[in-house]
Parts: sequence; structure tokens; C-alpha cells
Amino acid sequence: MSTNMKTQTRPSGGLGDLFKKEDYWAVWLGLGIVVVALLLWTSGNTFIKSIAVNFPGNWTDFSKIAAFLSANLMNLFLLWLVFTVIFTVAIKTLGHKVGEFILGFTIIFIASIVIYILGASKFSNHYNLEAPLWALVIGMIIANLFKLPEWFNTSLRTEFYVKTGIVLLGATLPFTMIVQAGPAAFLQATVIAVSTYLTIYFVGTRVLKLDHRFAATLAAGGSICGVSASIAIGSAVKSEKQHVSVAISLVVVWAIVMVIGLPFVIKAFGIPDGPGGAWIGTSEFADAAGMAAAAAISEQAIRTFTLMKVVGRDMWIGIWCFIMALISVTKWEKDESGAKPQAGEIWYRFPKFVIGFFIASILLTIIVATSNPHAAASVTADVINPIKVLRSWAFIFTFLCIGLTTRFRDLTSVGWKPFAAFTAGVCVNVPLGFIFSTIILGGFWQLVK
Amino acid sequence: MNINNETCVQRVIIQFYHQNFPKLKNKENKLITEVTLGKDIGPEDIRLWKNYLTERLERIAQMMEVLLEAHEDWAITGRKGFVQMETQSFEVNKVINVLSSHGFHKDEYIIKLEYTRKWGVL
Repeated sequence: MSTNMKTQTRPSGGLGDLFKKEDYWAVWLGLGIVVVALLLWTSGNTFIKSIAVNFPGNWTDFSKIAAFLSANLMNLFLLWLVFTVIFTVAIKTLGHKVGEFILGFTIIFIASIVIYILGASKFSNHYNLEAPLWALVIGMIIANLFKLPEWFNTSLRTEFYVKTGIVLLGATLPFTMIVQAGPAAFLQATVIAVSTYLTIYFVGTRVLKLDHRFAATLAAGGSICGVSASIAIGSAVKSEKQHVSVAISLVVVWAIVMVIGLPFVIKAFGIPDGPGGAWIGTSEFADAAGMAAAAAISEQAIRTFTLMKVVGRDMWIGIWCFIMALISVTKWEKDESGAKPQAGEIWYRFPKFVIGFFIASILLTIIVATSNPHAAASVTADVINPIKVLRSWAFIFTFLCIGLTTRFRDLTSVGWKPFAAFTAGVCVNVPLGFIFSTIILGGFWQLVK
Repeated sequence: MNINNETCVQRVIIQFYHQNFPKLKNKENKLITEVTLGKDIGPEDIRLWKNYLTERLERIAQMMEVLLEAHEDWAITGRKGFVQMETQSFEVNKVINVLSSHGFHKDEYIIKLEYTRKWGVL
């Protein structure tokens, strides 16, 4: 039963959540693409393969790219159409303006073509200016020098694009690899996340005398999984809105530092791609920024990054929230009568796109494993490889959106105490991540290809 | 804080229980003694339950009126054992202050917070 009052706030909970949250939509769209690709393959249709436009790498002569563009104009149009239609369905259901989204997304798509081409050039390859870096830099320059129109914001859905991309990425990762790497990722992530969490929390509360809840929210952002963790823990422990805003701002600032700094250090010191990706997965603060950093290195780095970040860190956020909510109610709310958290909190906070990532991986792994060698090769060529290209497009949209939404003037003025507490965590997280990824488990991550 | 600098949206959820109060930290709700029906019940138990429900539901209605008077944008749903009011445009401290200033104690309702990132944030 629900009232019919005029209201902007929509009721939460129930089955409606399946279509009211970006997290679920990433699952529906990602898995939808995988299933459609498989159905088309079974009927011998090559539509997915034809729209998976992948620009040739290491080009030096622009006339070749121009020729490629003119030969693939229709395929690019169909690619735009497919992305526009599926994203628009989600955006409409999520309550945003369709016209604004289509116009904004079209601009993002065209800009992504330019970035894709730039990133594929020999010049970019020589100077390590991969497409993610171009996207970030171009996006940040535009966002910080010009005032973008309000309507454009509707299409800047960083989290939505990256989660859809991660579900697609699941289809390209054998499930056996996830199972083999899972325990190592969990071990590494847990040791480092706990060390970083405790550092930020104790520096925050004991040294800098910050409020317990504020310190917990900061610590979550700096150790577990960035903004998602800050908002989840902030909700669970009932942090002040300003405190959650400050934690998010700090995550964004450090994520931008890391997205440029980590790939630079990894390349400068010749750290192998596998351990490099695992280090980014451990020490970068946000999924989207981490994916940009890993994509600036190689496909192997994307794989180890994803295993580390998604399997080792993101999927445990629910358990962290349950524990912190319990501590908050029993220790920090001594004069209040809060309701004890229920175990259902763990599921409620679980990032649902991880389920899509697992299902996509399991589905393709079973199909490849149960097919004869000829059919398995055909699945790889006609389903998995095109999905990999579509995933790359979703990530380019993401990287561009990171740049376009990183408006330094809009970030909260954080104050030196939260900054100091968070930075203390960075000083633990980054070196520990390096030691685990390159020395203790370096051999293991190098073998994950 | 300048609203342009906020990076999250706060959803305040207030639950007014009339049945099956969740376990509270202080184990018993000081203001409300919930009447429930067990196995062996007689007519008098039903009357006690009726009186409890009448008082409790009236109290809930009063709290709802106070909140609706203070702010327009609420999503209200009747759920199993409780009524839930939610808003994304009225801060939690204001909610508590409004209820307190009208004589309602924190034991009479449960507040939950749910944050979401503002558009585009990483």
C-alpha cells in the first residue's frame, strides 16, 4: 500500500529495486548482450561480430584510419544504436530524461571514437599515451576549463558504464581462473584492507580526534572499495552527510592521483603486467579509475586488476558493513536505542553487478568446455572476442566520464585532519600493495594471463 | 556545506513499528511495551491488544502528521508490522529535531540512513 501524494522521493525496497538501481541494470544489460551474442552465434548470425568495431593499432598514416572509418561507418552507426537503445531503456526506467541522455551519449560516443583512434596510434603507443589516459586528460581539461550544460550530466554515468563493462569482462574470463585466483586475491586484499582500515581509523580517532563514524567512513573509502564502501559504511553506521561527502571527495582525489601515478611507476620500473594489475587492484580506490589505470597497461593487467578488485575486495563489502553496523550500534550509540543490524544487511549491500560478472564467466566457460574444439574456437572468435571489443567501448565511455565529472572546484573542501588520516592509509596501502603484488605473490600474478 | 560540493544524496528512512519491534540495543523499549498474542489467549488478551494497537497507531499517525507538516516530499508505505516514511530532501537531524520538539522520543521510531553517490561520481 502506498500513498498517492505528490512526491519526488520514491519508496525503496521490494522487487522494484531490480529495476531502480544502476547496479542491477548493469547485470541485465551485460548479461543481455552475452545471451544475445550466444543466440545469434547459434543461428549463424554475425551481427555482434560486425558491430564490434576495433580500430587497427599502431597506425602512422591517418589515411588508413580514414579508409577504415569510411568502410565501417554503418557498423559504427549500428554500434551507437545498440548502446543507445539498451542504455536508454535503463536510463528511462531509472527516472532520467531520455532526450538529454541520447544527446549527451551521442557526444560521448563520438568523442570515444576520437579517443579510440588517438589511443591506437603509434605516437600514443611510443609515449605510453593509451586511450584511457587520453580520455581522462581530455575529459578533465574540458570539465575544468568550461562549464558543461546541466542536461549533459544525464549521460555521464561513470559507475553504470564501468559495471556494465565488468559484467561483459566476466564473459571473457574463464571461471576456472576466477576460482584459482580467488583465494590469493582474497588473502592479499584482506590483509591490506584490514591494515589500511585500522591505520585510517586509529590515526583518525586517536591522533586527530575525529568522530568514530567519520573515521570509519573515511577508513572504508581508503581500504575496502572506494566510494561504494564510503557510502555503504556511512549508511550502516549513520554518518553525517558532510562526512560521507568528505570521504567521497578524498577517494576521488586519491583515485585520480593513482590513475596517473600507478601506471607511470609500473612502466617506469618495468614491473610485469600481471603483478602491476594486481597492485592497481589493491591500491587504487575506485573501480572505474582502477580499470582506467589497468587498461593503460595491458589486457593481462585488466584481468589481474579485476580479479583483485572485484573478487578480492568489492564482493566483501556486505560483511564489512554488517560488522561495522554492529560495532556502531553496540559501541558508538551508547545513549541511543538503535535497532540491531540483521544478517540480511550482507546481501543488501552486496554489489549485484558481481553476480552478473560471475554468471557471464560461468556461462561462457561451460559452453567452451562442453563444445568440440572447432565449436570452442568459433565461440572464442565470434562471441568472446566481439564481447571483448564491446567491453572496451564501455570502458572508454567510463574513462571519458571520469574525466568529465572530475571537477576539482566541485569537490568538498575536506579540511586537513580527514586528509591526513586518509593519507596515512595511502602510505600503508600503496607500499603493502606493491610488496604483496610483486614480491610475496608476484610469481602467482605473473602466471595469470 | 554548499549543495554544489556535496558528493552524495542522503535518504532518511523512518520506521514506525506497531508490531514485531526489531531487537533494540537496550533490549527493551522504555516507552513502548508491545502487546503480542501468544498461543493461549482469551478475550481479555484481545482487548489488551486492541488497546495497545489503538494507542500505538494513534501515536504513529501523530508522528506522521508532524513530519508531513514539516516537509512535503515523503514516500510513505505500509509494510508488515510498520509504516515507513522516506525522503531524500529533508536531513536526518531536522527529522529528529522536529519529532523531539513535538514530544516524541527516539525510542518510538527507528531511523536508518541510506547514501547514494551523486551523478557521475566515481
